[in-house]
Amino acid sequence: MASYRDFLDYAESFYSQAKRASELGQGTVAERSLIASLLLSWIAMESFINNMMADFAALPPDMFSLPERALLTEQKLEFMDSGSEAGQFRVSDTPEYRRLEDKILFLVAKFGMGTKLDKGGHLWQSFEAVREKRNQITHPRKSYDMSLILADAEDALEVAKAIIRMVSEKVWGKAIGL
Amino acid sequence: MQILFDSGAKHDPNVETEVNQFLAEVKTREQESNSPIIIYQDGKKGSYYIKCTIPAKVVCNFLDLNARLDPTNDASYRANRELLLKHHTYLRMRTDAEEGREFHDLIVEYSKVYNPEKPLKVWGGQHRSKAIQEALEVKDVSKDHGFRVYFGLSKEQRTDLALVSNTNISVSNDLFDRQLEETLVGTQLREWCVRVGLLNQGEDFPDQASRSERISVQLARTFLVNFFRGEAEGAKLDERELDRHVYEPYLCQSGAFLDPEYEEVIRRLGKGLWDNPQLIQSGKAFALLHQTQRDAVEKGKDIEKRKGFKNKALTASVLTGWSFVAGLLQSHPQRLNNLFQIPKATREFPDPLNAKGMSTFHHDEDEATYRGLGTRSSMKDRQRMAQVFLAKSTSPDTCLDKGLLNKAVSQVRAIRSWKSGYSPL
Repeated sequence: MASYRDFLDYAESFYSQAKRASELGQGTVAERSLIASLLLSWIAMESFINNMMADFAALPPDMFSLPERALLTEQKLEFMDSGSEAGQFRVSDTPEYRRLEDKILFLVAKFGMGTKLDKGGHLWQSFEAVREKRNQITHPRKSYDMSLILADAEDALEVAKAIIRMVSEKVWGKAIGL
Repeated sequence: MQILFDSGAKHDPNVETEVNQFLAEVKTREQESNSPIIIYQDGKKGSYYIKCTIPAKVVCNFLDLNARLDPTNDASYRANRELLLKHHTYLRMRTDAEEGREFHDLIVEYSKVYNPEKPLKVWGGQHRSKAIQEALEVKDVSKDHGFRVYFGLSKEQRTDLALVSNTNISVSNDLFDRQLEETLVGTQLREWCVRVGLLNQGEDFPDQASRSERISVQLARTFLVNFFRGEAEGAKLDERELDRHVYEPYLCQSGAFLDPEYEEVIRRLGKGLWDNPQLIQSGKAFALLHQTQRDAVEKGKDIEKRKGFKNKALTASVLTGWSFVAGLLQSHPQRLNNLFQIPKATREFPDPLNAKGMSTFHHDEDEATYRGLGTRSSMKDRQRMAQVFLAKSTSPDTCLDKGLLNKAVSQVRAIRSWKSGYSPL
């Protein structure tokens, strides 16, 4: 299974390809490489954050509250209205996928050694800009024009690395080399 | 001929008698030229010795290359490393000897306590001695060689001599360990390993573990220390607490000094240590795991026949992790029993330690150069392997599949983060 490092490598590779195609005036090749690069940067972040969530999900269940456990395992929290657990909440087997930003916020708040995530800061603002671009690609609509330039893919790569570094520093207490 | 004590040497009539006996038996060049023989005394350990020159044709028959640290104990194995007769350095020595090279400062002990027909026990220069013998035997070359001959050595002086003589050449820490073990502790560790099946009858610890496929002194000591460290820790924890800690399996130091943790275990537990039934049971279970792993790799069709796979149990992180957990679970018999169960081989998991799965394992925390679980001896790997075996102990049929490896390593990482940065929300 590919790791976040692999996805970052793929993203960089597509970025280089886009840059070359752009220099040669091959607009279509450049565009599809930019799309691939930006999405792969996002996937690298997802991979890293999901695996970190899975680390905590491997701990004995009673180390977390039920909502936390539901978030960590991305499963639905449900209220039981029948059976032996009637009247209680439980983490069900039904998947409930969470937004990447929520997972990052949770990890930093819970294990960030008391530090806070500055949502008004440059990194988070850049992250939100990349998310916007990513949403435009994955949820295309004719009402807006999806235009990508090299700087978008470059920003996405930088943001992915910076987010991974930031979360690893806050949660693991060490920056990983990228 | 005249025998004198050096000005720095305290007169000892017993030593003088032994020197006389030696000179009566072995004809040196000094005797031929009627030069005085001077008895020196080592400033650090107080050992007595003389310097002399002896022709090969005289000395060869007296040389004993199987010197023992404890001459009175038949269980004492030869203390020196194995002769490397195909090593290029030795081949060069032999050619030199055949071409008339004279060697100097060969270190021998004069002793007739064992193998009396060969009273010169070689402690330093066993390869040169062998080269001298072969040059005489094969090419009839006999040159004069310089010797330091020691007399009346105590066990401590002898060990020191063995260690000092071997620092001139590339000698492994495993050889130091073996020598120190026998001198300072005895033969019990080796006997214990034979008893539980980690060594065969008559087999000794290797003098170079990296080239051997046997348990080393360092690893055998490590097994014992971890078992008792784990046992002490496990006694303080209830079942619920067991999986909420990251444990720190210990790796004994190797080399010229006895590991302090091992020394402490020996001091604290005394002779009862070697007959401890729980330790023996765990030793046997580990030996069975090791043997099953070896057999699976040697005989299995679905696994690469790599030495590293075959001897996976004897890698530092695996052995430390397993022995620590075996101790930890002494207070938790059901889980101990689960740890001891060796999973049935399947096509997917032909070997109990899943060596291939371990070798390809990688966590996001790891550098890109990480070589997989159970390959290094670092604390991080030892902690991870302890958690792997702890996870294995949760049920009897659990095998070390990818899911278990992932879960165990995730737990190590998550517990560390939990302990350092958890904030109840």
